[in-house]
Order: sequence, then structure tokens, then C-alpha cells
Amino acid sequence: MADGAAMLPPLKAYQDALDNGEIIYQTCGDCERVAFYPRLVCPECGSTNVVYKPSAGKGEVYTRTVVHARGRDPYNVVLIDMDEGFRIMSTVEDAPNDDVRIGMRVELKTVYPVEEVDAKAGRLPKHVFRPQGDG
Amino acid sequence: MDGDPRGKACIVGVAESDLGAVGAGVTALDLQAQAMVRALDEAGLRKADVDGLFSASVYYQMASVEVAEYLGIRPRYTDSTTVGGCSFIAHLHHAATALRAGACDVALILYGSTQRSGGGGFTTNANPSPYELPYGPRMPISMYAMSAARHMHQYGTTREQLAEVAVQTRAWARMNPKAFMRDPLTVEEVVNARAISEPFTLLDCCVVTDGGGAVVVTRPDRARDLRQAPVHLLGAGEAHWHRHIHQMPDLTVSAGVESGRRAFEMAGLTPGDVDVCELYDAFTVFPIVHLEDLGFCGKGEGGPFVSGGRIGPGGDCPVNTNGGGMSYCHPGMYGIFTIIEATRQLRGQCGDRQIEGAEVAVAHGVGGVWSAAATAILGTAATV
Repeated sequence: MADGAAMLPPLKAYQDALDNGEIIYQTCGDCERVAFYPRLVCPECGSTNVVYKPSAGKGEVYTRTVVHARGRDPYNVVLIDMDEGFRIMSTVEDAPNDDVRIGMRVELKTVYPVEEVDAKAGRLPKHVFRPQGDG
Repeated sequence: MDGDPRGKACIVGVAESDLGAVGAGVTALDLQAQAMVRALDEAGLRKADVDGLFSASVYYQMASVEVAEYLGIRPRYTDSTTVGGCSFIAHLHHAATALRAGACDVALILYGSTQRSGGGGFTTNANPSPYELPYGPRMPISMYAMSAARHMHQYGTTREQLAEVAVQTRAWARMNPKAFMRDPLTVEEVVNARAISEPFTLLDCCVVTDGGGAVVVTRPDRARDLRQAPVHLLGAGEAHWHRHIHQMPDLTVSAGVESGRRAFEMAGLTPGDVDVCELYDAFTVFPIVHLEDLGFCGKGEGGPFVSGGRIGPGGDCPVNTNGGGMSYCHPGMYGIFTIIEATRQLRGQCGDRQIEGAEVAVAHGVGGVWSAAATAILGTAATV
């Protein structure tokens, strides 16, 4: 990031990409470390030479839970290890909660353009996954 | 290492405030005042002696400043370090370092919370991550549930082994008149309780209580003339690696690996030298991971390790002899209570639940979502 250049805030870059149906991550132009969430500096070497990349949207469930909350149906929350080498939190649709297991292959289904505003976190679009189809 | 506070600081007063459900209208500051008065009284010190103040809170952003005003303390050394529930173990490390440096002479560590009676639901100062909030995890239950699920997948830890932790901890609580939950508990009851965030049921989760605590720390020369047998800080360590769960590289390995190693190295001891463990327990998976991270067993061996009554009364690795956060008391942050119970065990004041001849204790905790960790190794005068 050159002095005086307009900064693209990393969170906004992430949210803008989601609005276009894409999950983005970063690689470091110096040490090649893969990073998520997007930042202004590489969390490995501190370089500002970070490059945004789109994910192919495929990965594997690293761990999962099913939340039982009053007033709504149980829902799953998962951590997914994406094929590019970063981890995200999401949820898996189009499968019963009991079938959402550690190690299952999943792919990005869609992005809901949620316009919720959280006082601390801001605007929050939401990606969801589904079991990976053949091919 | 030169500058280490090993043997340079000792705990001379510990106390809880009223615990459990203290009733509407009582504030977290009131509870800290109660705890302070009791801890200074048992130490034989006065409020005017306190010149170092340490506190963390989910209610007060400037925790030590807020409570100092209420109590009328003007410290020359102050520390509101907040690294989650283990903050107070970190404070003990900081206090010992400050005492060693002469930056203060009598350090007071304080905590109070009206988590149960305060109303308005569970109070937390967590900053939700925009990368996690949309998915609705229950904070922090779901994060630790995902850790437990991964531990089960990776090492074969069973649902029943998790429940064993709650059952054995309850057995300790039955010997502690101050414990919030004292009814007998079985593995079946834990497993079959209402699901909260799988694999956790309601009984995998700590109690939610009110409560406060105070710990008074000074140098050994000052401690000599006080009322209690001093409990010495032999080692302390801290670490933090991440804040949000999706940033944690392996959900079965906490930063306690590093805080524990640092503490044991400073103490010149190993887990085999420890007589009693006070380990932060908000959920059943905690003691399993703590025992692995601290080196009491290998990584992945925690499930079998805690089974068969090993961590309960009469077991060869007593853990959470007060009944822990699971059954005794858990007012939002639990860390200070690990120090209080470890100190009482080393003084031999624990009555029915006393570990005979306890000389070395570990007080260990985490904060956030396996985010931060702090470890203290404490010992009697004979161990210094």
C-alpha cells in the first residue's frame, strides 16, 4: 500500500466480494502464506504485499456443532477447511443436521444478501454451503 | 531466567464474596468490596497497605480504575489486563513481577460479577467477529462444542468421557459447603440432559452464578509477619494465539501448551511434581484439554486419563477440588477461584476435600475461545 493511495478496507473487500457471490482470501506476495480473514498485513511476515484471490468455494468440514435454541429449529454451525488452505465458519444447507459430519466435502451454495446491521460488526452478508455434488 | 519472579512473591490472603444468587440490586463492585475485606482480614493487612491493584471485568471497561474509586484505593501500580476468564492468573504473574521490581509492595487482585442476579441475560464483553456472527454460534458454548467434536473425531474421545468430568467435579462439590450444585450426578444424567450445542448438553456447561474473589500478594519478607502461611509463586506463564475460533489452528490444542511450559520451566518442576490441579472449567472438555496441554498426559489421551475416577475424590490426579466452574461457582469469569482453591489446598484448609500433604498446586485457565492462557505454579514454603 503506497503512501497516499486510497485504502481498500479489507472487511469491505470481503463483503463486496460476497455481494458478487464470491469468497475471497489473501496470499502474501513475499512469504506466500495463505490468510483469511483479509488484512492489511500478512499475519506471518508482516508484509503489506498481500494479494486478494477468489476461492473456488470448495472444502471439507473441519468440525461442527448443532445449536439447539428456544424458538427456532436446530441449526448447524461448521468450520470448513477450504481447498486453498484457509478456514471459515459457515453453515451447511440441503442436508439434515445429523448428516453434516466432520470430513464431509462441501461447496459454496449461495450468498444471502443479508442487510442486518450489528452495532459492532456492521453489514453482514452470509455465505452458505451444501454437500458437494459429483464433478 | 534473571528477572523471574520465582520465589519472590507469595499469596497471603484469599477470599470469596457471597456466591451463588446474591439477589437483585447487588453490584459487581459490592461483591469485590466484600471479597477484599475478607481477604485483607485473613491476611492481617489493611486497605491502606494496598498499593498495587489488578482487576478485569465484563461490566467495567476500566476495571481497576472503577473498583479503586469504590474502594478508595489510589494505587501506584494498576493493571486492568483483560484476556478473558484467566485474566486473574495473568494478574498474579504481573503482580509478582511488579512486586519483584519494587513497583508495589502489596498487590490486590479483584473480581466480581452478578452474572446470575443482574438480569439482562449473560453479560459478555466479546466482540463478535463479522466472519462468525452471521452463522449464529452461541458464544462461547458453540465454539467449545466444536472443539469437543473435533477432539472426539481426532482422538476417539467419547461422550461418556466428557460426562465423567462433570460427574467427578460434582463429587468434589458435594464436599464444598459453598458449592452451588451439590446433588449427586451420573454419567447418564449428563448425556441425556437437554442438548444445548452438540455434543454438549446442559450438564456439560458450567453453572451461572454470582460471585467475587480477592487475592492479596506480597513479597516473602513482608509475608513472614502476616497471619497465614504464605503460598509461594514458583512459576507463571502466559500466551495467546488467536481471538476467534476460526483462527485457531488445531481446535484440540490451546495456548495453554505455551503458558504451561513457561510456568513449569520457571518453577523447575514437571506435572509429576503437582499434588493438586485447579483448572478453569466452563465446559466438560476443558479439563481434558488442560491436562493434555500441561503435560499430565499426552495429546489426545485426556479422555481415558480422566476416566475411572482419576480426577475426582480419591483419584491420583485431583482436579477442581472446590467443585469447579461446573458445580461450585462460575460468575462469568472463573480464573480467580483457581488461585483461591489452590492456596487453601496448600495451606491445608480444605476440610473434607483436603489433599493430604499438598505441597505443589497448579492454577491454570484460558480466556475467550481457547484464545488466551495463563498458568501459575504455587507451592508451600518447603518448595521454594
